[in-house]
Amino acid sequence: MYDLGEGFLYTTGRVVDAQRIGQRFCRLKLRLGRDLGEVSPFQFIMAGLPGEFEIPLTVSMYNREKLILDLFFKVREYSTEKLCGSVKYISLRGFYGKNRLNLVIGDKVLYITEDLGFSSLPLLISWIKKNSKVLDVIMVFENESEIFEVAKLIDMDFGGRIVQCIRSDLEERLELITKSTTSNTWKTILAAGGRELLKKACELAYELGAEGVIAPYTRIKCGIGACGYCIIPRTKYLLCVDGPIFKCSELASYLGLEHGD
Amino acid sequence: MEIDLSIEVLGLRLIHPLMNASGILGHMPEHVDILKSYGVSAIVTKTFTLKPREGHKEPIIVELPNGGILNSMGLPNPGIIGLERIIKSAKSRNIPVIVSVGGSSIKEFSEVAIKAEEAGANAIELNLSCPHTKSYGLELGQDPLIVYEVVREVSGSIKIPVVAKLGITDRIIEIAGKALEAGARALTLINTIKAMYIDIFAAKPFLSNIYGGLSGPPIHPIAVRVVYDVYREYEGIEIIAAGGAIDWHSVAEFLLAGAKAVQLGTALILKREKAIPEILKGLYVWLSELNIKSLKEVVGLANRK
Repeated sequence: MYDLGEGFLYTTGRVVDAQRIGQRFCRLKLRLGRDLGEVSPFQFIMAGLPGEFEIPLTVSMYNREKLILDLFFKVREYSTEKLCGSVKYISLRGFYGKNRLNLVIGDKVLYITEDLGFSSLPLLISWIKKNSKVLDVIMVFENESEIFEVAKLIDMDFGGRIVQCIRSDLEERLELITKSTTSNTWKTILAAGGRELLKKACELAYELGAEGVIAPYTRIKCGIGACGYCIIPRTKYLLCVDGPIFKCSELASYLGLEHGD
Repeated sequence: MEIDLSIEVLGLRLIHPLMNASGILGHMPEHVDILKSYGVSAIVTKTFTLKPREGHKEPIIVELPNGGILNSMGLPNPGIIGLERIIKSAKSRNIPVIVSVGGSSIKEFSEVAIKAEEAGANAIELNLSCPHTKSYGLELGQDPLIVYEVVREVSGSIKIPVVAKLGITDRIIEIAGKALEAGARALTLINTIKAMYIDIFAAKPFLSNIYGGLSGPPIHPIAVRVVYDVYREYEGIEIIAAGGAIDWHSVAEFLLAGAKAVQLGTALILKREKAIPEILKGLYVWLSELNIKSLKEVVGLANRK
């Protein structure tokens, strides 16, 4: 289709498959009208139905040769219900955000994620494998049925350790995993989630002498750095164009970290 | 040769003529640091209304194949309660701040402008031309009498300079004259142009609001024409140009047509921190080539008879 410039792309995706996993999750497979370029873990796309709605969704996987885009997401309101329903075409703008992984990710990574963070996992696993890195994962869920449903959604056989727990058990699991013999070999603690989880991850990184890298959640309206709604509070960073991932030190004032690195 | 890129507009001495167009960031204190990092000589806020506005629901923006951007934000803003924080933030960084003011009535324009002045704004830009929000902007700004009334009321209520931001209409010369007659110190020309985009697979307008405002390079020749015509009609007036200035060449065109300053939108979205230094460098080389020592000398030059 067309291209306004670096990273500014619009296309229509034809729905190849829309699969509902349990009550809360959806796996959407789309064939794109044109190549949207390279994408790296945590980058996102604006997806929607023209005239009705548009939401940011993290890219779960993208095959550039076949133009197949996978989006895994939680179904929880009208827009996600509709995307996982019987629609034939979906409007897509993206990919948005920067590829900063090469700059910030060390050889051995612990990824801590909650809520929507599972969406980025397939692409992250693929990137980790391609770049000869090692990944351990802690996934935090609202309840046990979510654990079961996400297991059906994502191929967890990637060689690293994976810990799935519900939110109330997080502290205990974190303590267990960080006291294990492997904890001091993590070069990067990567986290996606709400402010509290990110703060915890950054503090853990600081404690272990690892690089803390985080993907915050915020509201995104335009995706191109114009409207300013995705500003990370108390920083000069717009998630849509400066993110979606940041070093902990960059967001220290947002997280209220005592140490800046 | 030393070349002076500074300009004087709205009684402000600015280090160069480039500022952001209203709508590019500008409603939160954090945006000030971003705009400062872009290198603007003055900050123009997002349009503030009396009460908070949520704006239109997404989709609100789309990048077009012709290089333009179509947006229909719907004037989202925190209302006058948010004014003080952003003005204070700009002031603490020594950046002049022009508050864009919107309203659906003369009273609303006036009340917001008064609040902005009290909060320390350097000037007010009246948004009389937003093309995509019902009861605001262009719905008011295409009537010369309403423009006259709004500008007169606001100019009479505050001491800081008032700029009327006008959009494209068939009566732009007449409307510009009315705004000046009513006390506008300057005109911002032009706003985005009402347009639409249809998704051909969905067979539906893409934006939730159906219509949006077109900006970027496709509207630049139209904006240059308007600046040229209005400057020619009211020679010597202060014009701030807006509309698709993307590089030094398109900025130079605006200056030659009669603009004293130029607002950037798409250029800042696309190039961010690189946009303004690149434009200033280009202007410097261009003026050197012409053996002109000050940017002020080229303002309106294309209009010479």
